Amino acid sequence: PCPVPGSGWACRAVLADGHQRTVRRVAWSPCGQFLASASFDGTTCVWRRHEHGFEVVATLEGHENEVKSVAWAPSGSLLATCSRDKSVWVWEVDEEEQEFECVSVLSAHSQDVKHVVWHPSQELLASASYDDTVRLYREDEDDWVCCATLEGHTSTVWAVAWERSGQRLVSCSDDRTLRVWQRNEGHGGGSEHSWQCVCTLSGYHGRSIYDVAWCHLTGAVATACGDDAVRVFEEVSPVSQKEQDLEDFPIFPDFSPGLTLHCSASVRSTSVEAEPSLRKSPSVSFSRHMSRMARAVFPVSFRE
Amino acid sequence: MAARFSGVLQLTDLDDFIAPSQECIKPVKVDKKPGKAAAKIRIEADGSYFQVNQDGEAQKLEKAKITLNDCLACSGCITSAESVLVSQQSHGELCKVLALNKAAAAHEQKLVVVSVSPQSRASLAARCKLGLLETAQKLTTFLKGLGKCVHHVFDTTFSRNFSLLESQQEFVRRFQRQAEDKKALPMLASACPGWICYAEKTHGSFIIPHISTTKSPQQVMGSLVKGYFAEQQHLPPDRIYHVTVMPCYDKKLEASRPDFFNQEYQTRDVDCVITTGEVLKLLEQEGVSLSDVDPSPLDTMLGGAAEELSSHRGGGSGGFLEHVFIHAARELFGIHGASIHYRPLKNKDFQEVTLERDGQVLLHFALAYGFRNIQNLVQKLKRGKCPYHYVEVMACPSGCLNGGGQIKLEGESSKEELQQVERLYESLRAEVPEENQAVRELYEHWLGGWGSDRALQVLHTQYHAVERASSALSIKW
Repeated sequence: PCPVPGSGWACRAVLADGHQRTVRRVAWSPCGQFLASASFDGTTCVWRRHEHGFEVVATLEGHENEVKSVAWAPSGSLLATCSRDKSVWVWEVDEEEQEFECVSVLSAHSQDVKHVVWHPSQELLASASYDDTVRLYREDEDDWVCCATLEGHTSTVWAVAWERSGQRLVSCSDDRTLRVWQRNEGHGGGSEHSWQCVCTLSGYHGRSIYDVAWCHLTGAVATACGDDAVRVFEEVSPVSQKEQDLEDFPIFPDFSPGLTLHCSASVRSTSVEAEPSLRKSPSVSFSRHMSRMARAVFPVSFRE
Repeated sequence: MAARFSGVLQLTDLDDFIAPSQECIKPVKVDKKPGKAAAKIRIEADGSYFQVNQDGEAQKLEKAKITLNDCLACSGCITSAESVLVSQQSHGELCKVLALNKAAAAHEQKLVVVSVSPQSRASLAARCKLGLLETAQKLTTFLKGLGKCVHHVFDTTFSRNFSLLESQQEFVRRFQRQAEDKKALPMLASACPGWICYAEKTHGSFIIPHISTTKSPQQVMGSLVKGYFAEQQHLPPDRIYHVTVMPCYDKKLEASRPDFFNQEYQTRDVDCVITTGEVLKLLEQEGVSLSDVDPSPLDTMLGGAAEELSSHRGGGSGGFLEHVFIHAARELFGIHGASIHYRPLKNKDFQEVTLERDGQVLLHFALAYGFRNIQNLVQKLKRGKCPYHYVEVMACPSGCLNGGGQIKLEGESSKEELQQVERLYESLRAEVPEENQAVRELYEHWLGGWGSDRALQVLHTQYHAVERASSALSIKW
């Protein structure tokens, strides 16, 4: 029988023997049958679920030190891990051997890599690092290459999230800003894309931003911040007709403005500073989708 | 700085600075007398430390010293040593040494020998748009003109003959004892120092028994120059300054290994390694275009000039797989002139070769270049799923011709450049090591015969697992 949402949670398994140090990240495979766990002990375990629990099907070794993140590609046949050893590894499932083999070791970053996340539909990988950059990787002939470096943040980039369409991604940083990056179509016949920062949100967060999530249903962006607040950002079309060079953004029909934080974007990069008056607003209203999501996390508040 | 070493070495914990939270893990051995628990430390005005124990007795404490050799291949903070190392072994340092040597008194002057690798030569030839023989001859003139005190220029293709012969023999011995010795096979090639440093640090005592004990061509040359050649010149080893020209920076680390340091004469078998790129810098520094230089006859170690250049079959990383394969096919199975067909696996840097007879696989060899393939190989080995008898392991994708110290050509894609260098490299006649007269002579007259104890001692080395003590690092999320 389907569990009724909100009726409670039961602990089904405690997997205590897989790692020797902090488990930093977990990720379900797209098919739901496998769970990957990344640990400070330098390994990534892949667990398979079966009737009576979970068992380890593979332990991915090779990183020199703490593994910070693990992510499954949408196809389910590739896994990415990243570590303080500055590298990003791509692993492939070997169907025959039921094993994972290292397909590429990418040492493009110059510092600790904090987060890796796959494009929602393509085999394109993004990584965020202590070296203040986001890098993108794709397969090229028989190896993986870093195909773009997104520079702009002035401190550690903690996390990255893709928009549902995969045309944009958002990064959050120790520098207290969010940056939205957009892919430009390449010139000529090449498959190379270039990426541009189309929006910088600064002045909203009081401390480092540790995590960001881009909702694939509603397009809203939520952030986790060291100033104890969760913030939610949405895009709106401009109220004022005076703004030029603006592109259309998808708007949900039942979205009611209430308090919204402008993210105006243009082909040229823009910075947005929160106006002082907006920072003090006591009330926030959300669309139907939004409020369900908001209830599921924590109450949103804005610091004075 | 760290970016210039091979990818395999880069991964092994190279930091730009010794971060405050990272400690040097090299234990410092200080003779300590067992004593009472409590003692005070007193710092004198001149900065020296005295330990004052309870009876008031003061004992001067030695300063903890870490030498460059201690630092090497330690998993703590190699890069700080690396920058010292690189400056000690750069072309700038070479010029200084040569200048000092020129100015030194006659009885103190050193004989300077430069050994050039065939990979470096091919890279230079491609860059200067010359043929290989011309490049070798003009390079000889140029190097001998440096500081006006370089006396001999050799080709490490010569010493490679020894590495190949010893590797072949070693494989046959290992194959024959595989029943009693579970660690005999697979045998893993040892010519690549990037691979060796990585193996010692990361997999230690698990993998070391599998690594061939045969010295690399660079180090065999070191033993020959400071051993045989020194004797021929009636000089002690420390009166020779031996420089090698190599396609990568990892070779600098190899030259600095304690195992290649002659304790008796306090001299290294290879004093200084410069990369192909550094030779180019020297040419630029001297305002010389290699094509304008007059050719000189090529030196050989046994005297007399070489008429032509030669190479070995099996690709730009030395040809270890092919030589071991052909020799093993003959010695172990009586199959002469075995043909070699490469079967690429997951990627072009991972290829297999098999020897079959009547449907049975007699030999199963592989090439594994680049870090990801080394990773997969070692993981298979750890799980007991490695099907190979021998693997030619190299740290750089595409092998030594693509080493980190090679010259980057302009105006072409890196793939095309590499193909050009490969074409040049492979244009030479391949010789069979067993048929090289000079090699046979050296074995007989200097090494005490084929397979002798002395040959084993001079041409082989050993490896050391590096203990990784867990250091008190602060956790970073």
